[in-house]
Amino acid sequence: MAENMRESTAQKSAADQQMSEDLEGKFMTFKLADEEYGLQIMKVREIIGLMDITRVPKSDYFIKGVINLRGKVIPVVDLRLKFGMQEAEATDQTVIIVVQISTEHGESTMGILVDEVLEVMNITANQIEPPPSMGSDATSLDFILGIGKSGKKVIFLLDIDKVLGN
Amino acid sequence: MNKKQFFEILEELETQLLLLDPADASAVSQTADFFREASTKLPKNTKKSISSNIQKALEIFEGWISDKELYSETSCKLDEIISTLKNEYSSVEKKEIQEDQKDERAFELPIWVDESTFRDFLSGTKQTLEEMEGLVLALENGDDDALGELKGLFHTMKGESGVLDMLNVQDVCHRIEDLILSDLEISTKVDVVLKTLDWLAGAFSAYANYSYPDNSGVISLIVNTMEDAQDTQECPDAEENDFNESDSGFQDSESTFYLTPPDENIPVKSKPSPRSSTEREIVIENSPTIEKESDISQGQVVEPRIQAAIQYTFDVIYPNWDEETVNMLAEFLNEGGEGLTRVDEILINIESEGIDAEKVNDIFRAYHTIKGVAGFLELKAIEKLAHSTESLLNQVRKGEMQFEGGLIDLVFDSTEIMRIMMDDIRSAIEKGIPVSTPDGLSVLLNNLDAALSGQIPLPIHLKADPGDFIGEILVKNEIIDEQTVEGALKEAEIKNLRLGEQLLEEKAVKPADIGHALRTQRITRSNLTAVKDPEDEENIEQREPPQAFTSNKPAQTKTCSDDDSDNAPRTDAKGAKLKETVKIDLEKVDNLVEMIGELVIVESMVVSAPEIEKIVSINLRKNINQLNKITRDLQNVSMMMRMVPVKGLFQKMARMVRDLSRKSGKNITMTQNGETTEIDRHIVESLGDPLVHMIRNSVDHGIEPEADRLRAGKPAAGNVTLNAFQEGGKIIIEIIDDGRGLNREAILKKALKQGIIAESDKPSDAEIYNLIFAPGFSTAEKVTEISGRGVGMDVVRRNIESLQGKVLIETNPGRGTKFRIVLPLTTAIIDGMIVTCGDSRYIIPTLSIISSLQPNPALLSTLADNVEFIDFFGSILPLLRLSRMFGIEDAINDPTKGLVVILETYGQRIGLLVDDIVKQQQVVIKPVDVGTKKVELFSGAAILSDGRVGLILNIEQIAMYAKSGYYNKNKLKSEKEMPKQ
Repeated sequence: MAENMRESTAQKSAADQQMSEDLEGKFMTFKLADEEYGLQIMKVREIIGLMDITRVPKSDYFIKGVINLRGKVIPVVDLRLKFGMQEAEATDQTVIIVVQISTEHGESTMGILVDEVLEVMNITANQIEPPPSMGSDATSLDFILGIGKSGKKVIFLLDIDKVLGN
Repeated sequence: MNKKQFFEILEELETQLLLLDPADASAVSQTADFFREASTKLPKNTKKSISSNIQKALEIFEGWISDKELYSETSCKLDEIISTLKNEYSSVEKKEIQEDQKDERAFELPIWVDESTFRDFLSGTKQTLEEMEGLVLALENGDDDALGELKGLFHTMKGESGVLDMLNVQDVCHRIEDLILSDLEISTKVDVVLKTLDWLAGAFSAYANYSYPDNSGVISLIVNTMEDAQDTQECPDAEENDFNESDSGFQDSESTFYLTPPDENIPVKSKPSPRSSTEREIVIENSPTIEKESDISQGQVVEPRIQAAIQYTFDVIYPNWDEETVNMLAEFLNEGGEGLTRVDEILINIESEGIDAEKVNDIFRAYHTIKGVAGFLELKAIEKLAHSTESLLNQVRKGEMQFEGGLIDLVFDSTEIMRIMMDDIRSAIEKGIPVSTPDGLSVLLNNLDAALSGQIPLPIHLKADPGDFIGEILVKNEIIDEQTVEGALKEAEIKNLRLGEQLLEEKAVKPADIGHALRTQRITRSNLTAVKDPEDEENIEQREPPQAFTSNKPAQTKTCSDDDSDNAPRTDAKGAKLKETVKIDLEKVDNLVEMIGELVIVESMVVSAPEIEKIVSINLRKNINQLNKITRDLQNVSMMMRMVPVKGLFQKMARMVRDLSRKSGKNITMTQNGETTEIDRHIVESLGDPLVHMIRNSVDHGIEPEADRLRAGKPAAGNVTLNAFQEGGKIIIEIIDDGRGLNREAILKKALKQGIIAESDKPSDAEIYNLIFAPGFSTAEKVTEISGRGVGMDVVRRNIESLQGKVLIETNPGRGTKFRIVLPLTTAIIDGMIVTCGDSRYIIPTLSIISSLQPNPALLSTLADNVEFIDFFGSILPLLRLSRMFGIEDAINDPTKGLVVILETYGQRIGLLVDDIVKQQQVVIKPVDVGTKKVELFSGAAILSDGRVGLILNIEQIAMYAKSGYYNKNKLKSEKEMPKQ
């Protein structure tokens, strides 16, 4: 697989180049366990500290519950659970990122629970690699827009609409 | 596109040119595009002269776009071209047979109507149509008064659609009016009118999308109906009658006939084209296009005007307007009054600062609007005066007349008399005095006619010496006395107004007097400057007063608004009859209601905050109570704003019952009670479908065929009753039929067959009847056109539930069925009981709660160690533990220590064990959308007084959950394996 990846990096096709250019821009990065992820800044509405979350019984396992965001009731998704990771104890770094997503049902506002927010960074086209090809299993990774590289770090750039949409 | 239509386009273009602002490049290019498009649609056999003229016109337009200075030079040329084109057309038209062509065309909003007026009209039509439908049905039931009212409504619609240039609608309304007045059978009329109403509904939505509906179908329906009835006679030329009618008001409408040469009067039936000649006639009869007459009279040689004075007479208007008309009149008087004030201001401004095209256009527009509205309100005298004045102004616009001196005086006179006439109408409304023509109107109209034919009266000049102030001029001419001027000067100084403004405000002088004084002052001053008066510096000082009327000075705006309050709307002072309403965007109201909902929550959060509760202060308590009361009142008021009567909805149902009764061949009457009951309009909107289904069911399944009814000793005609009323904070809607009632056995059999229930089940009567709400259930032996496909009642239940309501059934075999829909007053707020379970809180809609109790052990029983029951006054109900269902671990485990809430949903009762009931509270419902998996156990969420979110339980789903046994079989077992704390 590593070979595969190297190959695709070496021969960055025109389509990939185009994709990288389209993606280029500001990303908000955050941490889940040891990995870094990036959200397109336009998707982010605000960041709020951890607050009382009302559990919703019988909902999906990754739904942490609902919160009162200034009079609006919005669901909060635990991104760790959504990504199949271990649930973590909340720390004082834990925050809820409020994102605006567009699904087939229209626009909606959701919160995502992450371990820690890092920074807002500019990622240029030449720092962006296409998402790794996973052979026939590729659809499972379609929520990754691309992979940003900054120094030695690897940042998974998320298509939050897809992550939360289905 | 045929030539006739092209001719109309030319006319349209002419109007556009009239109102065109040459400085607005986009408007110019739009008009040019319009013209270009028109030219491409010309018939192929067009004469060369026409196409070359069009080419010329286009070049002129091109010139304007690049250089707007050219406008003044070339606009006359363009007018000439259009006149030539029209002449050409008219000569061709007479020889050619009219083409009969249907054309899908786009509807263009006429230039004198702005978008919002148009939208307002369209949004109002829905209600009007509903009202009409109600009247038609009343008519069918023998209410003769409905006939006149119906005609009135059509007449109003005709007028309004005419102003908006919806010619198809206008035509249809006109014809249907004739039909209503004809001596046809009521039942025939009703059928045709109902079909027409259907067409109108479609037509208005077509107009809303800017397309032009085709009315040929409905027109031929109306015409044929009328012809069939009197086939020996010729089709009555209704339009002709209408003309005479308008003639009696308009004695100089000779030019009206010019547009309709006799050979165009082909019998109606042969011309189903959307724009037939008859329409044209109506167009002309109707106000907004009247200016075309004058245009033509200029472009072509018409018979010379009668120079001798005509005695203009107008019928006395008796104030017998209906409420709607009175409201329209009130609006007209307000707006018209404002328009006149503006005209006066502009005139004064012209006197002091000179004329420019924009000012004339402003005056022109004001008169144009007045003319249009007066036209359809049938205020003939006002319409005529506005029309004459407008014609005069039109000449000025075209540069054929100089707008000065005598002409300005005429317009001043016109505003004055117009205002008198408006005041007369106002007192007619308020005091019921008939309106007669004011003195001086006839003279003025003659003067206007004379001016139009070039005999401009001499301007009024006042006596003045060079260097006089306005005040001095007014005093010298004995218009006012010196004291008034002195007083006004002082006042003016305090208010920082000019003398002229102050005098107008005091109503000491007429606007015309100020105008005259200013004119005199200007003329004398220009004489003064000519001789180079040594006191030049003083002159500059004197120039101050006239500038008072510069249109962009804030001071003047003040005059305007002050004048308004004095002149125009006297509605609040006297006119108890003139009810005022404001149109508000529904979205704004919704926002307001939602925000008030938030306010209510925050208020209770603040009031119940422990910090506040600790404070011991009578004053604070008093204020908090006050705050609480105001908040509740505010909430009530905001809710009232969204309430609408169910009348419209009921009307629709009445219509449907009528249609259904025809289709099914059963004779069915409909009774309605409480149609004035008001409900949240969101509920009304979503109530339509359920009602349709239920009434269909009643008609199709409920009411027996006539023979069966007679055999059962019932009256031959079936009856469906719709009731609406309020009962303890709930809205109840009942649908009652006197049919055969629900057949318990048939339902049971069907349900067994369809596998909805199992053989072993022993459902109660209520449960059996509720089976008709099950998806896919239908007992109808045959699938009829009306119902029987079994998709109805489950939709009904789902819809009603989404409104936080419920449906109850009462049935009496052989006697009938009663469906009772219980709805909250509003969907935005529900009464909820807040319960705790562990450290979680949930909200149970109070509507579902029967009772709550702390059970003693004797009431509880457990089957096979995992299914629990509670004895509730003798009936054994399943007992659910909220804690187990939701996996809440720190909840009370011993039922005798907790509380059991008895809930009811669709004839099924269950007990729900919770820890405690906190309180009853009104909560604002918020939708919860938690991603992909629909959480059916909750119908929404609400923000509790501590700011946290509470979930609202969906009782029906919870009852189903209890029944499914899922909880019993799986959950309980797994829980038993867990060590209990």
